[in-house]
Amino acid sequence: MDGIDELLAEFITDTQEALEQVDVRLVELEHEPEPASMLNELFRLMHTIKGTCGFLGLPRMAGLAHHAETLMDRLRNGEPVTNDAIDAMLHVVDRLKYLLGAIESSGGTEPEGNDESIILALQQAGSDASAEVLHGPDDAQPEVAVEEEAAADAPAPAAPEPAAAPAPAPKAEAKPAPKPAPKPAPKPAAKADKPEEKASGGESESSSIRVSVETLEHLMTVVSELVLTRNELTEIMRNEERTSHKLALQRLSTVTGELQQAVMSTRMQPIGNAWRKLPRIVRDVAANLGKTIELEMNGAQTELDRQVLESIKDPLMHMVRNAADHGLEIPSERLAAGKPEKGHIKLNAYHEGGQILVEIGDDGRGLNVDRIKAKAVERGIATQEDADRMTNEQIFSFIFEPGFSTAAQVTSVSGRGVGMDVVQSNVERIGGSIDVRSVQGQGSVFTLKIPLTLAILRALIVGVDGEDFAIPQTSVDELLKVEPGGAHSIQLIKDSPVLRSRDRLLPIVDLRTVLQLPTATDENGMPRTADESTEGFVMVIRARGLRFGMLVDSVLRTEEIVVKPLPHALRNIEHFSGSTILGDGRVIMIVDPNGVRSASATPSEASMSAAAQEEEDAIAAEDKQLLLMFRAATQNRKALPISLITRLEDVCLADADQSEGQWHIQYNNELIPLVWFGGPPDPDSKERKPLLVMSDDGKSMGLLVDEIVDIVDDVVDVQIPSEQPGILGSAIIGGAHAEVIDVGYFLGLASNHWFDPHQRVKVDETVKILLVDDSPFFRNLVAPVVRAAGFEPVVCSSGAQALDKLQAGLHPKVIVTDVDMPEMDGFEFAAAARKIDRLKSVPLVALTGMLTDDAIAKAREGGFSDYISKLDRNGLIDSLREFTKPDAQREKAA
Amino acid sequence: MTKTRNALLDEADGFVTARLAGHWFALPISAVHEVFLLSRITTVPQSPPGIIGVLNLRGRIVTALDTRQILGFPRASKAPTMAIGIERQGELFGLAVDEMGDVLTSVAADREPAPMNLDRRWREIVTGVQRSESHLVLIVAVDRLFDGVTSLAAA
Repeated sequence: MDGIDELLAEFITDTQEALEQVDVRLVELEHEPEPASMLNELFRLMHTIKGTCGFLGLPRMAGLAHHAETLMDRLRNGEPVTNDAIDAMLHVVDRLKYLLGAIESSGGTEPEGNDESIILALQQAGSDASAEVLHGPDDAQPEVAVEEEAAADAPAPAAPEPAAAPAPAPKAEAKPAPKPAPKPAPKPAAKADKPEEKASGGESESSSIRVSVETLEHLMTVVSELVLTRNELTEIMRNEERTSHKLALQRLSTVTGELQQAVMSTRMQPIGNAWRKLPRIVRDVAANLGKTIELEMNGAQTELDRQVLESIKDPLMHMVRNAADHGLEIPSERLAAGKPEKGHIKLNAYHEGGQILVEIGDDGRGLNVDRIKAKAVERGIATQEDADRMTNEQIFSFIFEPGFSTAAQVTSVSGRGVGMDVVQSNVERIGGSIDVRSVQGQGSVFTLKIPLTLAILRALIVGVDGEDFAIPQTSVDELLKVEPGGAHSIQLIKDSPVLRSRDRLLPIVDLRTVLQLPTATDENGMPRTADESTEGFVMVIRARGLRFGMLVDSVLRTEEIVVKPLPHALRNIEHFSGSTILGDGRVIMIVDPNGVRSASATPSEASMSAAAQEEEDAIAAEDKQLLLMFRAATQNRKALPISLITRLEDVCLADADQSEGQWHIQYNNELIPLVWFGGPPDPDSKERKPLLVMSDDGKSMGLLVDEIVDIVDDVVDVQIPSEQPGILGSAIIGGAHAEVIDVGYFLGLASNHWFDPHQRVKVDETVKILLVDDSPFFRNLVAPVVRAAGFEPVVCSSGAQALDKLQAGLHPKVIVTDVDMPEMDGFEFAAAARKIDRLKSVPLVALTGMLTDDAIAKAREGGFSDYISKLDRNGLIDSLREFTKPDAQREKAA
Repeated sequence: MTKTRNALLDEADGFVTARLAGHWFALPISAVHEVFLLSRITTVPQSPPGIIGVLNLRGRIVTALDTRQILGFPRASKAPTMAIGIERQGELFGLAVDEMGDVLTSVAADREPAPMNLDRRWREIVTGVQRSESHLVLIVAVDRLFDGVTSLAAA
């Protein structure tokens, strides 16, 4: 209902204005020798009125306007402009004004009655040959007496419309002479209408006027200058003793303040103006998607600067549409979830702390954290590792990324992935911010924080490197003093300055560095970073879901500043949103926190600082180690000591070279082999995947994984050995189960240029190696290494099983056995194996966990040729090579 | 000198002259908003080349342009103190100069086209040369000068 009223009020003002114009033009028309353009304008004005009336369901007004329009059309097409015509038109104008007044006072309904007499006059005007021709083919008498009234109006005399109306018969048109009314009716009629009009429609005329926006803008600029001048004067007078001046200044100051307020108020409009279209939008969406939606709007009268209002109109519309479309479920889903069938969208606007807060809430399904997270990772906006560390709030902020949409389906209404980023940039452009709270299953609330006005804002004036800058106070959450040994001090984590604040680690952005001020580098041109010894102030700033600390040297004061747009040449500098003139006359730049954030933080930096944080913790607990947690091939978390990782890269498989089953990718100007878990990846995939670059002995390789999950600081204690190649076993890491990666396995794969151990390795199958180990973990650890070295491993889980195989005719080149096995240990097995004649010359290698002199001696006694630690992969390979080489030669010789 | 001067004075154009790196330049008076002291300039971090900074001229923000840099002169030994204010697209710019000269009244007949062998960058900016008693004055087309600024800022 509210919305309709607004619309109606606007219509009334517009139409009143249009009618005034028609009035003026009609009068001018009487004296206009070249009426064509004027007639066009009149036609257009009437046409517009007709259109809006039709739209609003005002048939009487629409009818009148229609016939007036028709007459104007005839005239502009060459029919002579007669007095009759002008009179008829003027009557139309009067009648329309009367109707308008009645509509306004009744709240939207037309009074009863008909206007046939006027319409008749319109139809007959100009077609009456006897009428005086004002302008026409022969413009003989330009000064026709206006008193000669077009009599057609006679039947519509005074006020009681309904009574008078029926008078003209429908046949009126047929009447040849439309001058049956001798009384000079029109004048009184018009007069009679007047009082009524005054009583009803007059009110709006007198209480408000229309002023061009330009005028208001100019006024605002001038007042801003005045405020600045006053500030300057106050600054000068501060050291002045003469009280007489001071009094005058005080008065000036007060008046200026009042003037500023008054001018500001002319720019203020209720936010309801921006909400007017919303009910319709919600209705349409609801109808489209088969939902029932109730829209509740509170605080529509909250006022804000019209420029601000303009800027948030579209964002609001978009968010409400989103709420109706994505936010609210379809009725069946709602019922199933135990909610009322009717969805609820609530708009709420109110003042708070010099800002306007607008909330757009719905009781729908809420944001799906997992889906957003997955989408963010998929789109490469964040790594899984980052995403898992993030608070819900930070994850929600992803929905403001360009092209980000989690809508499963694109509906006709939304879900095309355009929007929230535009919403955010629109809101930020006016110095506002947008936040979202959401509980899955219960709904979401978007909160817009917008400044009351764009022209003036409260700012912190800060000093860095001898320069002053202004920072909008609304973006500063907290102000902390940092000094060595103080309550807060900056800490360095791998060259990145951070600050601990309320148990959270705050990345520090040094404004000096971001702006590249002279002291950002030392005398040798090396970047200078804030560290433990830094003294200064940290402003805790929240920008786009990320909290960070902006480091400055000093905080001078807060001040109300008048925002001046930056000169064009400087608008590309993203760190600044504008400039202002201080009380002392200096110009300073206004720092844009969002610009600073995007200029200083890249995703990799964010993860760096996360990694750095863990590393710092690791220093505190030395027996722990930092483990990179990731996922690859399976859903299990996998762990790898960070110390083994040289670098994390993000690669696209399409960039990899593939030849002879060998995959390489460019890294640091060299091609490094790629390895992975499970089946080979899709070579054509455009998807970017994390690559763990590991180096050993000057050789590098890249392990392709699906996603980085986390970095955890923990003690690695492998408890359950694994069956899988490349995995040492399971351990509890960071409180949850994870698989510990066997780097050696992958290094072996890569350095031997083999790729998939099960398919592409050129294994010499004649060189069989018997592996006996009761532990599946070590069997799986050793077998791939053996295979990787080019031998064919024959794996047995017990001595008995191995003996069976040997007795069945297996002739391995080397036998490798664990010594500690249940039932039959390594020694017993060795002794049994030695009893088989044809195997007498086969070298026996013992594997053990303990490498003591005792054990070695015992092994030698037991007939073992070599004795190797289970974890010494290279030792084993060397040993196998050693034993197989002469063996092979011997065989050839034989 | 004075023989034609009076008769032609009505047609004569006025120029504001200024010295920059040993050269005298002239800008049409009609293009000059005012001449002011360059003081309390705020340097703008990360600003494009050719811009000294911004300053407040009676409540208006003025962008001070490093005219020497724009015209390819070496940096002056001391910071410039005077500037010629030029309004352009609603913004006020200050062209920093070494020294202001007199107002020059010149008739078209006294002017010569810019010599062929002038540096290309200059030839785009200088529309003509006016002989004066002691020196040559280069007449500058303000619009083209600004094209130079934008191209410098965009680079």
